[in-house]
Amino acid sequence: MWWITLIEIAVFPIVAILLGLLLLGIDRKVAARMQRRVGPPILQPFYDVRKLFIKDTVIPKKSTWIFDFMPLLSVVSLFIIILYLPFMGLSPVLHGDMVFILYLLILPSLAKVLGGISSGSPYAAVGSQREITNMMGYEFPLVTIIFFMSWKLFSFGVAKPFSVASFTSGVMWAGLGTLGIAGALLLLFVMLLVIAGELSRPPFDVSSAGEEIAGGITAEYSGRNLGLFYIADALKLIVLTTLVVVLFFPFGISGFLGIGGWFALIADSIFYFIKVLLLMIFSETVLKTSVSRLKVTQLVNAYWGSLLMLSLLGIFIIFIDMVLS
Amino acid sequence: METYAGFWHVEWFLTAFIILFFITWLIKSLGDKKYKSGIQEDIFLSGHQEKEYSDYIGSENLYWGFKESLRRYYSLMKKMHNGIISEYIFWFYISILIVLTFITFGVI
Repeated sequence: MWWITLIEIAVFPIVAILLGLLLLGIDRKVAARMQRRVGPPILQPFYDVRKLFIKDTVIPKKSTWIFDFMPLLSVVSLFIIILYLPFMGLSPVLHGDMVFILYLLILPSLAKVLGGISSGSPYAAVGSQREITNMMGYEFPLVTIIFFMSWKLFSFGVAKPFSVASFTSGVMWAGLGTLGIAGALLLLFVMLLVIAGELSRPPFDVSSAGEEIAGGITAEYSGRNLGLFYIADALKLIVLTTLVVVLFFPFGISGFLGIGGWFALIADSIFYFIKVLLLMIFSETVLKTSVSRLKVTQLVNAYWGSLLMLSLLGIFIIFIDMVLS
Repeated sequence: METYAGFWHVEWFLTAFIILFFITWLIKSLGDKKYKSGIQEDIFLSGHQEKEYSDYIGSENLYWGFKESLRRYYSLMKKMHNGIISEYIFWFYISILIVLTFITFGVI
């Protein structure tokens, strides 16, 4: 029914904001504990956003209307991506394919880049330039993995290999041998690093690099605009971890437990949260507490060299497993 | 809209975009009304008022990090683009030969 879809369009993004900010809070708390600090309260990101929304919004004199518009576009584009993914373990609100989602994923980063350039600050311009390098880097391994998975679905005779529903059906990982599992783990490892890259987190945080370029892209942002970028970061975390859930862990727990109805819905939602939480801890918290920032010139080599080679190796191993079985 | 391998609904996409744009605008308009918004300020670096940023970074510098990483590849490409037409035709024939080999032996 169309009115249910309209309600979902309005409600899901708000839930995603709350969940995203909660995850950021847990991330900060876990990171602090890993460094033997007490850390901020789990609800700290909520306080941060609240504080940013009651602050003055300063706009540089040399900036254009793009500066004020881009935080808005960044959040809207992430809201839309959430509707195309099985958020909270439920069916996607809107139907689309993976290629479409890949295109939409470019928008939030592009909005940040355009906002940074239009601010008129050299720091933000350097940050934007670095973010473009970052974007061009992580897209290659990401697209390689998704296209391989579509090809694998196609080889199983799936009619719509790029459809999100085909990915969530779990057909792809059926009948995987020991070699295949090893290959899939390699691909998962690459995807976790791609998440860190998409989120501009260590070791790929060259675009924000506080110590070098004073926050980079967001150097001139303040008040509500910075608050929107903060929310966009939380949403992006949800989007990317959900994408990995779709690709690697599309299974629900209700079928395994043999429950149905509302209990199944609640069990699958809790299971989804656990998956997203674990993915965030491995892709963000562990990385940011254990590795340092790469140089700009090392970014492309890391993505197009090491990560791409690792993903190709993973694909090759899975391919051998398919041939042997 | 349906393609060979995928699909998306343009009408629903636009509907969602309009609704979500409105919601985001509402979120942006939240907050304490006492505080001013849209104050115009100059840019300062370490306490010094900044000049026009285009003095430092032009649009050609946007891909600096990318080009710097692939410097060896770009220098090789520049060497190959030497302006000698016979060499360009040679590379053209080599490329056609590779494509024909793939098609003939049914690799693709």
